[in-house]
Amino acid sequence: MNVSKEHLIYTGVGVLVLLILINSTKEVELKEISEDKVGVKNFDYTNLPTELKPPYRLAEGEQLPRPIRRNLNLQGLSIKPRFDNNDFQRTYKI
Amino acid sequence: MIFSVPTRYEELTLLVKVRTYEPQKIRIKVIDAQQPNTTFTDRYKTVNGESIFFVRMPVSAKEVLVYVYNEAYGNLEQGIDKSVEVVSITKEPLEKKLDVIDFSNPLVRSFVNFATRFSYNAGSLPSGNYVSDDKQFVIKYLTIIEDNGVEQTTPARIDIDSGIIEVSKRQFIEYTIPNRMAILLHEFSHIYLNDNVDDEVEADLNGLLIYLGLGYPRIEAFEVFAKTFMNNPTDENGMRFDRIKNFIDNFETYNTYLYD
Repeated sequence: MNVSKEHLIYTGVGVLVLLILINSTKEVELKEISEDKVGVKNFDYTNLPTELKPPYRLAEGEQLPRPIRRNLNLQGLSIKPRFDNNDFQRTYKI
Repeated sequence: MIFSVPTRYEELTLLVKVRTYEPQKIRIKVIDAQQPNTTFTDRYKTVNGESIFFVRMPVSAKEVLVYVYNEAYGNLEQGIDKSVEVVSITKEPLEKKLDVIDFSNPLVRSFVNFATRFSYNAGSLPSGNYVSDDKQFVIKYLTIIEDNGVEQTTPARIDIDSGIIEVSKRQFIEYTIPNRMAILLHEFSHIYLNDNVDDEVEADLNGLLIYLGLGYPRIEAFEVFAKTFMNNPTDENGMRFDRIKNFIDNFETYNTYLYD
């Protein structure tokens, strides 16, 4: 049988799409564990992937980086917004 | 009931299907199996019959523990508590809308990376000053936020002059990872995305756009704003909550950048 290159490509793409669809949904085997098996373990940051490693913590006395470029306007100078917007203060924003 | 699910640090959506035989208040908690104080979701809903909890997880652990239990009886093993049954747990791809996030802005890229890493680890990080890889952002992780010796109710705030974000460890440790992200993105938006640094609603919506685009759960955003506003129920915060609810409800059809 004469199989053209084009057919092989289409078949390959079809198999790939099928594999993606099959693998996109996976039912997890239900593995129940008892409460006494749950506890604080020795957690080690070094095992985390790079994108989840903790950010760098400055050492005691190490200088903070200088302020960076930001959207500044006269209206906003000396404001510190707070997340809960309680007692609006100049300098901080919540 | 507690189920162990290997998630291999992948981004995913967990579908937890539960069954009850009459209306029951069912709580679901998904926590990191290794790292303390690291929760991916903590919520409940009243279930009558079969229902699915969708847990969106843009970040996950190597292994997570899924707690499912009836609020009325507490956490009991499957079979002992006959009022609720876990039918299945399924992993599906996470649906994201990255096109709504302006990743061409290097500040957005850097802050999302910084905030994600801080939020994931905040449950076990010691107090101190944390900086992003590019040294553009600083988070002062304080035991509490205080002014003149008085503890402040806010979980976080940003100094407009320096761009330094202060975070209350006492409050953050109790929050889920999505809650932490929503708060940090709000603070970031004030200075780096808002036209008016002073505008809370603008910061809410700019922050939420990134949060939702990354695929974080809608419900956790509602929750963190509701929790915060309950501590400070002003008319302005009531208005903010309405705007936030409207924005989240309409997110799927929202197609414009707020922070151009």
